[in-house]
Amino acid sequence: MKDNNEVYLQARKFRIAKCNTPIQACEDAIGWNLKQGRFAVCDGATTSSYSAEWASLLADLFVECPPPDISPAGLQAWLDPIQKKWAQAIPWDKLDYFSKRKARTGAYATLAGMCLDPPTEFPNGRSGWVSEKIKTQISVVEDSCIFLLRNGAIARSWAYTQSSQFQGPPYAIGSLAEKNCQLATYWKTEQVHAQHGDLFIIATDAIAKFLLSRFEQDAQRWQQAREWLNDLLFIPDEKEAENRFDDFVNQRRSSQELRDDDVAIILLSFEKQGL
Amino acid sequence: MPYTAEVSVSHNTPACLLFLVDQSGSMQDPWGKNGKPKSEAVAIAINKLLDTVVLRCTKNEGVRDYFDVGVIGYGPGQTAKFAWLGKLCNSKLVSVSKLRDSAEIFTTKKKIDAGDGTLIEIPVEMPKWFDPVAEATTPMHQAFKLAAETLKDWIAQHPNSFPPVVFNITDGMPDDSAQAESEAGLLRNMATSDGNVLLFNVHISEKSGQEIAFPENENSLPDKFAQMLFRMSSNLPTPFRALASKDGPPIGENARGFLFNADAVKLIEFIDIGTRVQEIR
Repeated sequence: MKDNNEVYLQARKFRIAKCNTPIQACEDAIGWNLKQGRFAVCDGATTSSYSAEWASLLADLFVECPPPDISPAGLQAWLDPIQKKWAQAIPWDKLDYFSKRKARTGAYATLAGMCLDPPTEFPNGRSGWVSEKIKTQISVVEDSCIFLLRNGAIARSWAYTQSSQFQGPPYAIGSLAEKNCQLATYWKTEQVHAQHGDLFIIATDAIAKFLLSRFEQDAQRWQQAREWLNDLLFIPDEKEAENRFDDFVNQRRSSQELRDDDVAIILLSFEKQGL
Repeated sequence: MPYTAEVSVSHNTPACLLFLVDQSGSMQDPWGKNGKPKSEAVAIAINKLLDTVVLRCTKNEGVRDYFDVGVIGYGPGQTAKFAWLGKLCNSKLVSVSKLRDSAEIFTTKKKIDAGDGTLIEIPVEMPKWFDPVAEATTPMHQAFKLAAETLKDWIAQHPNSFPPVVFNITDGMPDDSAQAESEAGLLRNMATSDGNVLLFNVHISEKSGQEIAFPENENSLPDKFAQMLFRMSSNLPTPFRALASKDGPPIGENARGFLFNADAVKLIEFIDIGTRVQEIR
């Protein structure tokens, strides 16, 4: 039963691998914790090995237990258990000369995560009425992004704010402790009050760049992308929503509007009215 | 925009890297602080470049064939020919998987700090595909000609790929400078739908002075050979310039793919193969 101080919260996630690549090979991971209202995407680097495994460990860690302290020492203490887990999962004795050397250089992933504050369980699976006085804690490292759509426009974005920033290799979180000396500098956080009508998008780089480009360049095409995102949230059938998502992404790849890269995206809407 | 084609295994759009290596008699001359022959320094550099290529393409499941690779040597027999060692000795362009499978792993010694300031030697395994050679003259024009013949077929098979990148590593004294410049021009005029063939020159010179990377004009270069190699070099495409500028001073619009006594590994890292991360320092 809702009262006037509640908003209807909905969340949906989508993930697709590069063209002609099975989803098992997708190196973008999603962390999804509906009991606590925590969400994350992590983009594992193509240029490192065992990066899908690292991205997945990182996304899961974030939604189970976000870092309580983002100082250099705090972040290292937070990452330490999954760094060990990552190294232990590699079949070192089965690796040849090159694979062993490559794995020794570590795996890397960027991250964008969001936590509802206070931690909020979704009452009906991926949706439900929750307190209106909800805040969101944003965390981002480089080009995995979070956008806040308000009144039809991108009102805020973290950490990249322009499509031109998606150029060159980003800084990423490493599976080796000694590679994360600068992580605290790149870890950006902010607390944001959610409002009725807000839509948060948590996205890895390819789709994030596509959305920012459309917003910057063309009102009509931005409108089309926004309607697509809205549809994805409100299609009741999960499978149909996934198919719609895959079709749209593949069409944009064919027209070269969207780079052929792995994609992970989470949509989180705060509405007055539910389904 | 040119030079933006995705290097992709799933789309069968690999990139092509072709190394042209000066193996002429002058490459016997000592170079650098330790006085090793230039030919040895170049063999180390080529093996390091090839190692970088294999490592970049190595993933959990094995290797992804993002590149076709070739090494052409010029000098011995006053001609140019593919210069692979061992299992690849009769090969031309090869995939990265073939490169990886044919590496000869040898053990060398490396000096490291023992932690108390003293240096100790430890054994290190290194891969190699190419041996140092230094004899005869410098038929650079023949190397460009063989490169053009090889790339003609490759481009026909991959018309929409990122255009081939050719690295010419030399001490810069060709038999016939005019003919070399002319053949280099023909090579640069070849193209895929994504842009012209890129010709980068890496000049190994005994002239002292600091490393020079991506100069904008030939006036700052120390001798006529460097100036000639500068003229033969392609302009750095916009995406390469953006990457080169990311961690250093801005690279000008007229910058060319020319390195004077500088490390060429950076040039390979410019080629995009998906989600990458910054070099971690």
